[in-house]
Amino acid sequence: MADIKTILSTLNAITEKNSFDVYIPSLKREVKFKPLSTKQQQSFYSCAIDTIPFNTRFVITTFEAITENCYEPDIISQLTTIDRLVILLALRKNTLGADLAIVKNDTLYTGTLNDCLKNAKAITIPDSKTVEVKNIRVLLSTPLMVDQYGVEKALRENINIKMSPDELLKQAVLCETSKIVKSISVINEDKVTDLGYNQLNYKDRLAVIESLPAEIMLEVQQYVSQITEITNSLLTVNISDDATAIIDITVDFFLSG
Amino acid sequence: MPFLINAYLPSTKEEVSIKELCYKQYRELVKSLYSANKKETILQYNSILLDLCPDIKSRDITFEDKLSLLLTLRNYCISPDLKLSIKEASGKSFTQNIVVESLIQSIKTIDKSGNINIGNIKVSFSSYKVKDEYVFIGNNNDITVILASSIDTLQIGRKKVEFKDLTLDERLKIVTQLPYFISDKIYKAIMTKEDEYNLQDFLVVKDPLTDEIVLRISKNITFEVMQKAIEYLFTEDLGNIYRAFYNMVNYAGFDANYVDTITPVEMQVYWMYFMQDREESSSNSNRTQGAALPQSTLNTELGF
Repeated sequence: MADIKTILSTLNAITEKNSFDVYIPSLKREVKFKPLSTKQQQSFYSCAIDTIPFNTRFVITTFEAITENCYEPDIISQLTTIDRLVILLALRKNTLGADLAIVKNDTLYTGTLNDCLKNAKAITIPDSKTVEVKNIRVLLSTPLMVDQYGVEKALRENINIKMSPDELLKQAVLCETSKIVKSISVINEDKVTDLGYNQLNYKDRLAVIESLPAEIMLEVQQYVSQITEITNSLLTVNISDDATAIIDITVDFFLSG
Repeated sequence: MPFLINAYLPSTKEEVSIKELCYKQYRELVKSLYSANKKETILQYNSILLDLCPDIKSRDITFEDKLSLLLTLRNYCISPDLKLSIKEASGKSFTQNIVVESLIQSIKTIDKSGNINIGNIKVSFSSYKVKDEYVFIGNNNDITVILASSIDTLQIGRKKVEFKDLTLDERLKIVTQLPYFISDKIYKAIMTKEDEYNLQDFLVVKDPLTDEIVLRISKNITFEVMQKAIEYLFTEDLGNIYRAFYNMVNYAGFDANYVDTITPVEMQVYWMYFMQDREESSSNSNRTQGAALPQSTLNTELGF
């Protein structure tokens, strides 16, 4: 008879044996990940009741799962939100399989995540972009996964999930602003002096964004749209010979086989 | 030497000897169902079962085993009939007699054991274990708890672990560390068995007029099903329980300590003799004005 320590270490060995490679678009190379454990899969159930429209618990849970399961902890701080989606696609495929039920126009289709994982190899993470308006210079870049996690953790982890319609509308606006918070890397005054945007906490970053000139906001929104387009191209699957659908990466993605 | 009866353990398909349930223990079982603390009730039932059947201490008994032991005690020590009073939403009420022996035979046929091989991992599983019963309180249907309680052995290559030797925390630790694609397969195999027994009847009560089913308990003995079954088997008006005891001591003149050591069904027999004697002496001296004896304590189960 084996003792519990032996069994646990054997389970670790099984987990390692079942590890898989994920192509990370921002690094342009593959990184090894462990499959989801029962405990991690269980944690998705607690995300079923989430804050609308942020999926806060899901963002926090997936960040923790990616961090725990990545064999290269040093890269976590460099991963973009697009990389995060690719990793989640691979985790889902290796846990519940590649097939996915998709409802489009009230019709049920079956798509395969293999399409998305193939797309991942073709996408290019947008380069950073500098926007200058009057005396302000803003550096934009693809949001990092750690910032997405940080925003959710700092701003919304304890938010009341029962919101009034007014509150929901306010949160939807905030949701858009959050995307901008994550996309901005540096703000320079007089195009030179770093205002220390990255050193601010997420609440203060939100306040800074609200006082940026409208012209800059417009540029930022265009940059965010570019990222959304890339994300959509990543998440597009074929559902028939002549039709495609964009899949949603929410908690349901991990709860239905 | 206490009188022993045989009870069947479905999990090991063997019989064990069990002592008779005495009135004191019966009273405690009935009383504990009135407790708001479910965990205490479970502990009380398990402690009395352990007292009556020390053999189960070394066995990792299942929910079906526990129900089988309780049904056996109910059958031999309380009454072979289970009278269920049904009150429908329409206000209509009726009583149905269930033969306890038929429930015992039904529980004997449950076998939820199974094996599953995933690569070099072999898993054997069966029913929920009684030692984990309290964990299921509050509709806790967490997959990890279901797996930790249902798995019997886990073998990886040559390394094998018996779950009965581990604490719940240790079992949970193993289960939560299992890669999900493995635990999902085990869980689905367990659920397939559950679905199979969900379709089979354990206890069914039909409206005698319309033949419609008004109460159904399946043979899938989950925590909720077992609690429901225990409730049906041991719910009794506490007033009747105390009244019967009082009558035996006060009118029939039995020693209180002795009454506590006999079974409820024996008490019923003594009371029947006493009432027969009482009727005979009453007809012999019909003019005698003695102490007024109660005609009935309204205990339907005990027949007093």
